[in-house]
Amino acid sequence: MKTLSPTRQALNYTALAVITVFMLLPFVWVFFGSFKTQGEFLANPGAWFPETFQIDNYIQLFRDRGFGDYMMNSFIVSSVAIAGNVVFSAMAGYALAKLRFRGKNVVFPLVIASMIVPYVALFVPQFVIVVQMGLVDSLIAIILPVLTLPLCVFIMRQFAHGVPYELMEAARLDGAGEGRIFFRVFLPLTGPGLATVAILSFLTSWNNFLWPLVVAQSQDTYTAPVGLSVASQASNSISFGLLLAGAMVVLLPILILFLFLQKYFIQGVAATGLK
Amino acid sequence: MYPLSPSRRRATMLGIALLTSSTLLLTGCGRAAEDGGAAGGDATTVDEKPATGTIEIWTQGADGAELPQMFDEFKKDNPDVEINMTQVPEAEFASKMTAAITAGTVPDLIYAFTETQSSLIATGGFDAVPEKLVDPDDFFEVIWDNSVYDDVAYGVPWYAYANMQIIRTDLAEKAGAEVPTDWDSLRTFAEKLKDAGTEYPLALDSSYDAYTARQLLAFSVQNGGGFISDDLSTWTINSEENVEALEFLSSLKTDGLASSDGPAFLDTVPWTSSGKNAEIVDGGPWFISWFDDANGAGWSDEHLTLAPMPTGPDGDAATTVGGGSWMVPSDSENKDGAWKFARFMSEPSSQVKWFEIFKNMPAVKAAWEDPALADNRVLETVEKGLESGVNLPKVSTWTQVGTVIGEQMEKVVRGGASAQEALDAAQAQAESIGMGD
Repeated sequence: MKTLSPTRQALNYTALAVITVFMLLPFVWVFFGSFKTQGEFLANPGAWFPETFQIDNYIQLFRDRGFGDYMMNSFIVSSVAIAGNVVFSAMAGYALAKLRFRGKNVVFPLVIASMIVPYVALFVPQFVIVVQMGLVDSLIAIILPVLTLPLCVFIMRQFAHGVPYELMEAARLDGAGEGRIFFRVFLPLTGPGLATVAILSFLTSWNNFLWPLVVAQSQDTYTAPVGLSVASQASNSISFGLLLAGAMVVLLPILILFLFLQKYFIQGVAATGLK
Repeated sequence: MYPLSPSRRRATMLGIALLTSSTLLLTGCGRAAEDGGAAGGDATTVDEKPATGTIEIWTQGADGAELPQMFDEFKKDNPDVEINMTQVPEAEFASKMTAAITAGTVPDLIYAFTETQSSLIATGGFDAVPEKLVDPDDFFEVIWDNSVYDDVAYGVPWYAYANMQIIRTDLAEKAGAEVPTDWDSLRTFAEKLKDAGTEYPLALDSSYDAYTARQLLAFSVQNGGGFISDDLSTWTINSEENVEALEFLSSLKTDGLASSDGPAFLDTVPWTSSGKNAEIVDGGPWFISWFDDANGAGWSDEHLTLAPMPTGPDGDAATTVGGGSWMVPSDSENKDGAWKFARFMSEPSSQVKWFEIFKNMPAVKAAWEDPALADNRVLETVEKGLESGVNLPKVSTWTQVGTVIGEQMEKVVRGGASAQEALDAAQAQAESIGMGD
């Protein structure tokens, strides 16, 4: 592999550092903004730093606005969504890539097609179905639509293609059944795919706003994004300090998850060609 | 198959249209009134007995956080009633409500801001206000009229406000300028302030969307114009009066008396505080407390003069207004209790109480006579404005049409079109968009 000259390397790193700083600037503004008062926002909306650091926004968010409950709901929804997607997408991916069954060539295009349909077109019918099932105003109703995401099925199918048939044939010759092959041979080889699925399903369910808003008929079932939207409502305006403090809190689990799984996630993205 | 009632089917159609539009106000339904008044349900009769049962209320905006204090007041005379409240994010309230109407999972009572009433009433999912529940004459006409469709009222007004001129007293005095009362004196005021060194004397809306169009509407009505015919059947956007109003408004920007690019909503306070501009034209009453928040208590009293909007060339007054009204969904399970609470909230004593709690201004005229509201210069100015308030066109496509008008206004300000060309284009687009029938 061709190595870069020290000058070229320095230039590359400088360029990357500059780009990184620019990309981080909005987060820096949000972070410092979360310590400002409403008066500071109104006096100078673009200011970078608060006049005095105060954590009132965070205290208000959790003590007075019930944000802890909303976060807990989001954790439940996202945890189940991760589990559902990891299990079901892996099964679906395995089946679509490695098994032969009637209609296989129709099922996969349908999965892809479902990714193309705009969500807003499914929205009202989906809500009516949930009402008919008697699930309205429950966390189950919020979870159901994100339990198996088409994108995750697609990712796992691509990963499944990369698992050599020879390994599975060997397992079959050793007398392993389909379930054993799936759990003992297939799953251990698709770690990066599963990590990618976990992150994507977490992001989708964690950031979901419109569906939880409509399904949750009482504040007891609000998730963090919906709760944050309510909590930051101020008279004829937005309580910007609360909004930014909430944004920081909501961002934290995403950062933590990404930090833990980034190695696998990057492998997963590289392997499936996702952008 | 899931059987949908006509109103729910209509709500479904509207819901799909709402959700596929970034403005949430697309077509796809007919107004309830056109299907025979309160198509969503019949008005109930409401007696004087105490309310009972549970009332589910959905609120939008920040008002909900303080509303439980009024529940306590209501329970004093209605001890057997239970009230459950859910705060809903304002931005998606119409989406949530439309979906709920579609599926029949509605609350018993909501309040809708003036801007969203058209699209909600268009679903056909709301009952008419029961006869004799309240006296329409008790309310400011403009706020009562906002929820009336084909002579059927769907909302009991809760609060109302009018915009005004907010002027930097010290800068105006230094420039020897007087408070503008009409278009000519507004221009003179701006020219004097400009000569005295104020960079952009007037702060006009520069978002070039439906809000900018709303500002033009006030000036159009001051000039004898308007955007829609009285029977709401025809757009009248490119009328001569409207073109003149746009020429006047845009000339303030092209002549450098107002900026074409700002202030954006949040910049308004810093621009005015620093003296970059000297007057917020068409400013909401809440700006006053914002100035105090930003600059310290008492700053507004010391630095700001308030005045009703200037009148047009023939002395016609017109002011942008807003507010909210209580509405009862047709599928409500406790209509009796819901209407009783709405009636309670419209009583002058409740209106005053709510003003004391949240500073929302009463929609009931009698409440303004209470000592709690007397000698308040903000209220005095708002009250004058409410007498000449102008409602937005009461059709569900207004946001779409307003956005088109705003976009065309920007072309005039940037020199890309004349006022006539811009409003001709807006008229053509509005006709293709229609009224949402």
